[in-house]
Amino acid sequence: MQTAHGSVEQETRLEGSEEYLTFTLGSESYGIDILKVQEIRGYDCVTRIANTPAFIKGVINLRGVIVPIVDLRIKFSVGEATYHEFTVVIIINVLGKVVGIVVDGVSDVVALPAQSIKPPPELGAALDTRYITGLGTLNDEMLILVDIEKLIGSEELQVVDHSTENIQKEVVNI
Amino acid sequence: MSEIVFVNDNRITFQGSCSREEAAELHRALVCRLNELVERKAEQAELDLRQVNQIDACGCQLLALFLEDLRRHGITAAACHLGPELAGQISLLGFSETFSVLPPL
Amino acid sequence: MTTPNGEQDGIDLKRFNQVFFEECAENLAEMEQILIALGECEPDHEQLNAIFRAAHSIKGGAGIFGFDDMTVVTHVMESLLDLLRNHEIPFRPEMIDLFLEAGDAISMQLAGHREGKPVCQEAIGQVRAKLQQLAKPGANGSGALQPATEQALPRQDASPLPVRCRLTFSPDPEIFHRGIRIESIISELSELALEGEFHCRAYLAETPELEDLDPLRCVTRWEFTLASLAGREKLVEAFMFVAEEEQLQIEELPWQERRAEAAQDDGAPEAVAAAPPGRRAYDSNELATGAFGRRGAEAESSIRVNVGKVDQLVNQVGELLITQAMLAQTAAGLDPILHQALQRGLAQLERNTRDLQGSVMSIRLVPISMVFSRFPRLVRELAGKLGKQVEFRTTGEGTELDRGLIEKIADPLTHLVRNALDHGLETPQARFAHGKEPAGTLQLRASQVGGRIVIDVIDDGAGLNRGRILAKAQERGIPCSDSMTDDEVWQLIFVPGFSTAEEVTDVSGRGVGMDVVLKNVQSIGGRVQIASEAGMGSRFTISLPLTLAILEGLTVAVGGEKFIIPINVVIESLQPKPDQLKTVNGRQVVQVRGEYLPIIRLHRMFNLESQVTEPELGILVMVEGDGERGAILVDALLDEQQVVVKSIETNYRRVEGSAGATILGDGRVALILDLTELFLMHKKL
Repeated sequence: MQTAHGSVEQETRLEGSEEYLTFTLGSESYGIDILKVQEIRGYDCVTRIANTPAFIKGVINLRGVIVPIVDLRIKFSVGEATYHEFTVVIIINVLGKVVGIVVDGVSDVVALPAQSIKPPPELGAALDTRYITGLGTLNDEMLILVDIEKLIGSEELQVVDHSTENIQKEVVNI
Repeated sequence: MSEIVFVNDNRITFQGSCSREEAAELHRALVCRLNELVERKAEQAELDLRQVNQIDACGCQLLALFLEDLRRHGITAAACHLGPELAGQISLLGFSETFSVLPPL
Repeated sequence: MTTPNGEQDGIDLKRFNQVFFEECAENLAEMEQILIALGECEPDHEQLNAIFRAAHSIKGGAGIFGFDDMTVVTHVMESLLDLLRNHEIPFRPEMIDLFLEAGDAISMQLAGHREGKPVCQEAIGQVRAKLQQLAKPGANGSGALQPATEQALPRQDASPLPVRCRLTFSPDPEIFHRGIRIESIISELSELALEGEFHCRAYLAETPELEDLDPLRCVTRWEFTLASLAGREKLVEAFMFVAEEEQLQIEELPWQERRAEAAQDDGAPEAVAAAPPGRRAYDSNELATGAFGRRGAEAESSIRVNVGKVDQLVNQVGELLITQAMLAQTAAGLDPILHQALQRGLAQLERNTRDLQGSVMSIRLVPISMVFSRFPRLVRELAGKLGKQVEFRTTGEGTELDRGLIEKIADPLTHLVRNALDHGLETPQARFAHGKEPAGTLQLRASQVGGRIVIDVIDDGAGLNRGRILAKAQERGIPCSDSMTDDEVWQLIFVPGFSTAEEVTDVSGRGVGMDVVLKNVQSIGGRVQIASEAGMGSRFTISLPLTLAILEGLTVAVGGEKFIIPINVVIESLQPKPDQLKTVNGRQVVQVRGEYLPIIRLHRMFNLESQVTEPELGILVMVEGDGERGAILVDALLDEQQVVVKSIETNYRRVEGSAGATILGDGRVALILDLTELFLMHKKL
């Protein structure tokens, strides 16, 4: 599997701060741990898959690896799910899986000092608080920090097959 | 004393001892057989060692070189019909791989 | 005992750990195989030696790599085996079971190091104590605890430690002329070596034309790999008067030193951890290839490769195949006359690619004996537990299949074997009452039939009980009726939650069973068939595709997407005429040569928008799978090609109706259809 986040990852990290890739969904800014990001690419040639929720756009060929594409805009009912040459897919590498997420736009890579991150609020964001690790502030704007691993692994996103996992466990127990 | 018996065109049968003492004679016979097989454009040859009762390092080397030469001429060759004692001796001397010993036909 | 973990002479050995783990697992498997084959019989000298060697290698390896806990059981085991070898204590049948138990203990420790699994120290302590107990009578007190190999030869005051080394002897070309008998040197050397620890390999340093050869000129070089208590001086002495110093090279292979250290149970000082430099009079290269274990000689003809690397190779060939398809697609649009040379080159490329692919795929093939070999023991233990007598046979162990399949077939097979023992075979009494031999037979049979691998699990037990299955199904609320054919009844046992055991045993477990077997087999493109006759026995047949990685497929277009239909299920394709189309029970069917086939609209199955919604507008592909036939409606047929099967599940979940996906020449992903699932989906619609 490719680990193509090379240049971004290698940047020196400030003491006690984490780096986040920021992107927008509708009017909100989100941030995810840069180390979980494999690459960022355009959106094209998605093969649709039947009988899946609308936010699963299908699968793409990423240099020989088949990668599912999740449109977070549809999932969280924000922004407009249009696809054009500027539509961006963030390729995430978590839980041993490579998954592409479609967002409205990628903004920047920022370093946030750990002490500037506040605990998540109870309400407010389009995203369920379960997947929010905290809130950061960037240029007087609120940045919602997402636990992308938890989100991708969640049952509601249906990327990870929870049912087959159970089957495998059963086999072991026989 | 080793004597070479022509039983089958592609089968080279050895008898008796294949040792340092017989080396010169064995060598002559092998050269003769080699030329004959090459001339005939034989595709394969078998070294039948069934009747060999003794072999030493010098004999092993000679047979190994013979096999090597056959292969160089595109002739598939291997030793066969080794008794357990002879096989043991060949293996002790480290030649079993070189001889690519075949199971009996 | 403290040892620098995995470090020796400042060299990080961690990367060799994997090699040790693999070898250790192999040694354990080999040991177990011998023990199982023995049954209750006394092992002969050869077998004892083989078991001893396995235990010994594990202990040696564990010593070098710093897994000192693993040397504990192996050490006591080795001692006991050595006493047996030397007839100092008599063989007792319970020793076999104890050795098996010891093997399990070592396996547990191995798993502990390898995968971080929990290790039950108590169990290990028990096995160790039992082994020591057996080693006691007849042995002179503490003798059983001495390192085994030291007892094999007369002890010397200096308490010699076995030295493992490789000698390379490049004799003087005149040696035959001088009348020196190399054979006697070799045989002397072999006597200095520990039993079974001597290997000699001769090779020709040059191969002159036979005709020009002086028959008494020595062109042979010898390489000896041996373990010996004699010490290097003694070894060198064997070559006295024969070899000049530069003609003899000795490499010490490192593991004996640490092995010896491990043998001194009470945490002796690190004195022997590294050999004093002075002992290395000759060239010494401890990290030379082949320095680990006894694989030196074998290494010449086979190499050990990480599976990951092979998979990478397979993937890369897959990429190449895709690139080649892409080129072919591009070139198809060019004028064949103007680009004749290019076309020829591309045709050649295609052939080369396929050849390469064939060769690469063959690397992944492994004999099914890798799975079969686990069963003798399982059967033996289970039969004992269940009070049944079984004659267990396997055939076709050499049948090769893809490594990926081997791993996935092990669990379903285990389940079938357990089932056959538990539910299939009767007790000796019951068998006797029915006029059968008290001992039942259980057979595992593998073979290649056409493009598939077929594995049968056959027992001569009571057979499936139709009445009981139907009753049970009814009780569980599974739809069924008395008018069902036998085959249909047998299929009921694959329904989730079905179990026919009169009482739930700890052997076959409860409920989860055949449905999981079926699911697992299907997940690797396999099928399970049942044949059974009351009182005679039953046969479960698993059939699998040869490989998971490449598939011959028909590319079809449906509503802007492409799909692959595996060619082996395709019968024919046709454009139906209106009079061929009928409606039966509200479902549309097509009549082909007197047969009515249900029409499966692919665009509907996969929720695609297509211009072609009616059969007469498109093409029907007749398919057959699992004894069922159907006609798949597609917009158009595109072409027939080999595709590389990629898993969707790697990064996503299972996709209903598909057996994976592939990447087409244009770089897009296309789903590969799974007929069995497609039929099921169609029925649910």
